[in-house]
Amino acid sequence: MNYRVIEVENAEKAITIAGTEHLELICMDAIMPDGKAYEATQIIKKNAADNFIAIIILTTPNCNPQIEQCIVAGADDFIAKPYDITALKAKVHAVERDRKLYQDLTTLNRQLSENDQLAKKVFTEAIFKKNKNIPAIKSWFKNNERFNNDLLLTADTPSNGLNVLFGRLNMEGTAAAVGALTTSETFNAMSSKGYSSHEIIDTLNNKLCDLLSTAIEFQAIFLNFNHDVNLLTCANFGMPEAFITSDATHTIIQRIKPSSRLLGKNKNLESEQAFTNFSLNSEQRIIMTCGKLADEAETETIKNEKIEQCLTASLAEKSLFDGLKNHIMKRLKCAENIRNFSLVEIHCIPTLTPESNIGQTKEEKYFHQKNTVIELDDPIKFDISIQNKNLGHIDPIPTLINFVNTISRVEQRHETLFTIFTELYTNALDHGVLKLESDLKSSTEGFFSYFKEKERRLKKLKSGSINISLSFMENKNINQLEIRFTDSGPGFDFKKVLENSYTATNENSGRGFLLLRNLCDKLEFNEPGNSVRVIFSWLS
Amino acid sequence: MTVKSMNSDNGSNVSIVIEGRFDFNDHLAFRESYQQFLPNARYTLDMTQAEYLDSSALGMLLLLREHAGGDKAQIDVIGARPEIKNILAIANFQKLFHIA
Repeated sequence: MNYRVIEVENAEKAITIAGTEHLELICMDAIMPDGKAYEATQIIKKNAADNFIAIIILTTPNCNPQIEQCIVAGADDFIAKPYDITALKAKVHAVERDRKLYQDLTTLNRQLSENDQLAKKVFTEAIFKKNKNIPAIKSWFKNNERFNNDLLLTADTPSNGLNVLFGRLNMEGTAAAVGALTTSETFNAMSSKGYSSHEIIDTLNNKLCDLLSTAIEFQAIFLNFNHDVNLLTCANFGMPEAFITSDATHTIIQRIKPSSRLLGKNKNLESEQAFTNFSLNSEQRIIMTCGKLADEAETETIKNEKIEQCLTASLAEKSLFDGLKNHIMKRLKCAENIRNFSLVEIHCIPTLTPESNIGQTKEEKYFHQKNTVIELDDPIKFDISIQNKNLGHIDPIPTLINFVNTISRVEQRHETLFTIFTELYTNALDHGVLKLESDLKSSTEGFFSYFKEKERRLKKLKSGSINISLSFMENKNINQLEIRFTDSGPGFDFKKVLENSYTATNENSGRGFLLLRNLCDKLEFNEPGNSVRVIFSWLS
Repeated sequence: MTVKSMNSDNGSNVSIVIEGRFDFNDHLAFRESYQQFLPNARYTLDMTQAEYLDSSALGMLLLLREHAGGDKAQIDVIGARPEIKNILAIANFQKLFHIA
């Protein structure tokens, strides 16, 4: 055996030498001259921290109490006098194997901790920082020792609504970081493109299934607030029950119960079935929690009850959030083993959702733009021109849709594209070529006489034209379509009409622009208003 | 597109089925589908087969609502596809109709 040997005469000196020399193995008598074998074992093991110093206790018969003490204090093995050299060698080999295992474990632990650090960084730097600061949302994330793998994501929707995803990725380190990044990116990209809640969830579910092939556990609540914050579309996938409370009555008025559907288990989630709607007002708050106030053994009902007790006790407090947080903290003190707990409160006031465009500068307002528009390098172009009496009996919209279909897969956005084409064509035909006034549609009878008049004018139409040009380009996974409509009409006061479209909901006109503005990435008119250009893009 | 309407319970429940493309071309057919029924009926608009919707169609839905009693109207919109639901949401129609 290849050891350099240092001899010392008592346990005190053994402690000193262990502090200055790089020791690997100590053979120490159970009964040292200073009687401190037990203390020395304890101190040396403690000081060694992450280094492995093996201690083998040498014993004589009848010193069993000392042996036991030393083993409890951390000694690795013992050998009885008189020594048999083979037995001693075997013991040394055994502790060497222990050292190897111990070192592997230390390395793994360090890697795990580095992974955790990475995950923590991803969570705080890459994910949470993307969330806009919304004062109406309060959150508290409690974590013990390692990082908290709970996620809170927020993203504006094109119709000035807000999507919120609150959930927990039951994964460690790198897997959690990858899962969280995927979730965050999918959520942000699809929210900004105006995908509906269940489409976002379905895509997210499929991506997580593909990416992290082992079964993962991802619990989440998805919330969509409409622009006026009076309608909530939401679904709960395996999270604890969430609550809608009322400031006016200090009561719980609705519950968002977990559905039986879970994320990350398998594809074909069909999450649409899980979504429900609630109407909201500004006196209401949504309270969501993640984590448990009780131990694993208790049933889901009891766990929920504990949260509910805390909530009920806080309902009348000046600040519901602070009150609830205090109640939860008190409970958590009694349950030290609970690792993570998160609490989110959303106050359903209008400032929750993005400012509508009314406050924007004129330029932004009339040249509405939501997303970065990619430059068209080498587009595929398609132009058609419909003239004179052909306008009365040709419907170009199926042709336009077919064109887009042949060059790109647009199935998912088919309906939307149809609506965009129809609005643009109706606008060019009705107001440009036929010179019909929208004001006519302000009453029920007017609405019908408008269409009657439209049919009449179409029948006797002799001159006029609508030119349509499409430009399509694909860049990476983004498909972008530029659409231009130019009509032979005199143009119109597009500024006034667009302005009205910000307020029109019950009116019988102005909705066409409302739709275009929300469905397209960019909408702009050219003076005098007989030419319009929109950009529509979608992910493939 | 085609519009079909049927009623049960002596006209107190009216079901209107819309198929295909729903736009201004359908304004007469759509009006006929509900005009014969009383305002206080409960209306169900089945959009399972509806493929497209434009702003004229939205206008027509508002007219149906007016016919059915305005703010007192009981109109369920069922089976709308996600993209169509999105369009209804942009127009804030979830406030005016019960969209399932």
